[in-house]
Amino acid sequence: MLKMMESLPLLATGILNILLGAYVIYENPKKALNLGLFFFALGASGWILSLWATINFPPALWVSKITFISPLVIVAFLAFFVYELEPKSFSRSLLAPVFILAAPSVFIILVLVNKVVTSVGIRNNHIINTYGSAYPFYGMLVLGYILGSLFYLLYKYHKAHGVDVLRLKYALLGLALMLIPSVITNLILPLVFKAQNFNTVGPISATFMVILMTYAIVRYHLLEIWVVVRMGVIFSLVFAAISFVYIVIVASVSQYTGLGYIYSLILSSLVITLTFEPLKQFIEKATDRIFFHKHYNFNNVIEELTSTIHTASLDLERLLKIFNEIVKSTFKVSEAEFAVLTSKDTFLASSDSKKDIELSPNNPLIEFLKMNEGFILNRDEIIHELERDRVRLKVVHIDLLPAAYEELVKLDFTLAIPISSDSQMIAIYFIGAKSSNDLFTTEDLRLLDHLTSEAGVLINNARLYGDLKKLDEAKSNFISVVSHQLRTPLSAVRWSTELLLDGTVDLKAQKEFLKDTYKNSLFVIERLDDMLTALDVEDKNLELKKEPCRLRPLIDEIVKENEFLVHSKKIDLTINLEPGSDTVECDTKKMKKMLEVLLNNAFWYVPESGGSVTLAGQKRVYGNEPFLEISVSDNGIGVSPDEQRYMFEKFFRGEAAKRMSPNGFGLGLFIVRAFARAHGGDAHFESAGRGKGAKFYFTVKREEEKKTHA
Amino acid sequence: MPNLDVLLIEDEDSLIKPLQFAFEKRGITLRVAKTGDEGVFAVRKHVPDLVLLDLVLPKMNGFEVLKEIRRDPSTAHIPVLILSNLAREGQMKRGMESGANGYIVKSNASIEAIVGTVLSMMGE
Repeated sequence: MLKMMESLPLLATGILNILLGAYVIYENPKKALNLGLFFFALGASGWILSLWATINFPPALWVSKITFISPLVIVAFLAFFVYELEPKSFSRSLLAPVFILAAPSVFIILVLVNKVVTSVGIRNNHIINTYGSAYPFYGMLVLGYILGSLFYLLYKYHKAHGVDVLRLKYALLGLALMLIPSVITNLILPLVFKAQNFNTVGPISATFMVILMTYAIVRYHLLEIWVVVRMGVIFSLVFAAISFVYIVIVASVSQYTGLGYIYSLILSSLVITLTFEPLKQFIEKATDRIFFHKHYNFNNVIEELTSTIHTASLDLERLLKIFNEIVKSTFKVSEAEFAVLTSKDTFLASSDSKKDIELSPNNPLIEFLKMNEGFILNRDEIIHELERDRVRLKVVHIDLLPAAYEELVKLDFTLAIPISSDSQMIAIYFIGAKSSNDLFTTEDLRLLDHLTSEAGVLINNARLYGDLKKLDEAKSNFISVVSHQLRTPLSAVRWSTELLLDGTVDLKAQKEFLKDTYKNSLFVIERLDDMLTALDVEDKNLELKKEPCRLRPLIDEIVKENEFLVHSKKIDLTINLEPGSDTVECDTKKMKKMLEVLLNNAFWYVPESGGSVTLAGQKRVYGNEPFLEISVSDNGIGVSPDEQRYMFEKFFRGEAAKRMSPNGFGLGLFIVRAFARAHGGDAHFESAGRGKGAKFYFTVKREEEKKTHA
Repeated sequence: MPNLDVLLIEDEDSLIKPLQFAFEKRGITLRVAKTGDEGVFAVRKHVPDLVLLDLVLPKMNGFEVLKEIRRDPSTAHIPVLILSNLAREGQMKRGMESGANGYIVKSNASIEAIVGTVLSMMGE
């Protein structure tokens, strides 16, 4: 029965080791590290398969010699493997591998000349070796190599950073898993207890090492492996502990009490059954503490974040700072920074951030993230991919990846997490390395993904709030301006009527005051109309009452209304309507308003003397469509280049215009453009600069001509 | 109140007329400047007993005019009464802090009250 129990797993693990070794070589046959592990696996497989052969076939000394040579291969290549494992602490030389491989070679000869094992036999289904004079030295060499490798590994681990830490962790873990059972069953038990019953456990435990190392080398997704490895480690440790308990009990019971094999088996099974659950829990806890620093609870972090953030204000800078603190303390990272999309299309970190981050839209990092929506740029993952010359990440524009990676390295961050809203990237969250140099696990990334989407909502809200605030400011400013502009004519009305009511005013003055009162009330009404028009424009609520409209009488009316200004400033006014451009299908009231705004502006802003204003009407064709174009040019204050783009914004008034005539609303040109657009046209202007005059145009579509063509 | 020299710096004709009329009734002829720079020029040309100053003015605003008046030692002592339709707290505070002796919001005061304030400031 025992023969069967040991035989099958032996064969299976022997073959498994060969397969794993072959896979590692397939991954990269040129790498010394892979080569080392391949020989290591080969040694383990030789050990296991020779034991299997000894049990299943008549014991032969040459097979048993393989059993003894294999551990030498294993430890030699273990040392070589550890030596090759990054980071390198010494300068490379060929001497070290030669030295590492030399000593076991000597002992391989000793094994071959029967100095280690002299004969082999099977008793009670167990392999019984007769040892030669060199056996204790053989044992010490094997142990020495293992311990040497272990200490060297610990030393390297102490010095390592980043990805290397993870690699070395795997190596340490594998070594520990291999060492514990094999040292017990193949060194302590045979040497101290003279028990050779369990010498097949050792080779099987070497498989742990091979499995873990294969995993560590060939893993392509560094992040996924943690979860799997954690379960594997816990399972392996539980298995090792149970084996240990089983071995110790069975060995000591059968050695010292003389009880039969079956009783010791029952006893050990009982102990294992009773201790299994607490043992497993203990190992789980210990494993998490030693190997998997898991300090946070997913839901707690999210809860903390939402409760903290919802009690804070809408101040984005403050919110993001709070957010950063939570992320820093949760993931134990020293740095975390938001770069938020600005109006200039760049991504900018907050002013008090430690690093000066401003990324232009053509930065490869930005380009790459924009093309791969939701992809988290992870420095550790990418370096691993790039090292292998074989990128398995599912991304588009892979050619941008190296440059994007370089940018991330330049900024000295580990993660770049894009934050989007309405499929527009509105921010990037940069996170530095963990202070422990551990990698970000899938769980970490999942939580970060969740947290950053919360941040996305915050950023978006704050942006909307910012826009709203700007709008609110514009509104307050508007109310303040309107209040002033309306108070002025109303003051005039008030004072004039006070004097009129007083009864002391003579007839001539009475008429004057009444005229002013009338004019001022009209002014107030017009301004109120302008405001409502602006609202209608905003609401896209303009209605046109189209009718054939003659321009000349409208122009004359406007000039007459401004007679005083034109006369007092001695303005040289020219009106030049091209034949056929005098009549147009349009909304007469709106046409008058457009002409009024342009003419009034020109009258106002030409110099006190020597002003000249020209109104011209011309038929034009733009893009096969017939238009009427009206232009008003003057030699007035002009428009400075930095103010040009605001000219048609509502409530905007140029500095020069404000100084020249402080009582304006800043709605005229806004209304002209809206009216022109409602007529299928548009408005624009030309100005050589401040003080150099200006020419304002507006166009309306000529409907009637289109009809005759059709 | 003979020979009181009051300078009104104001750009709006329909406000100048009733003010001139109301002061005339009390025997005071207002001198008028229609822009800020004209106002400063008028103050320097002949130092008035009091300045009635609008704030929103062409070419040079009332705050700048006031600063000019206070800067020049020969005009620094002139009482200045701001007569403006800027009616927000901040604007009024700024006016007083610029060195005005009084601040009247035009639309909130009757023309009699304005004349009364000027007279009382002149110790009449």
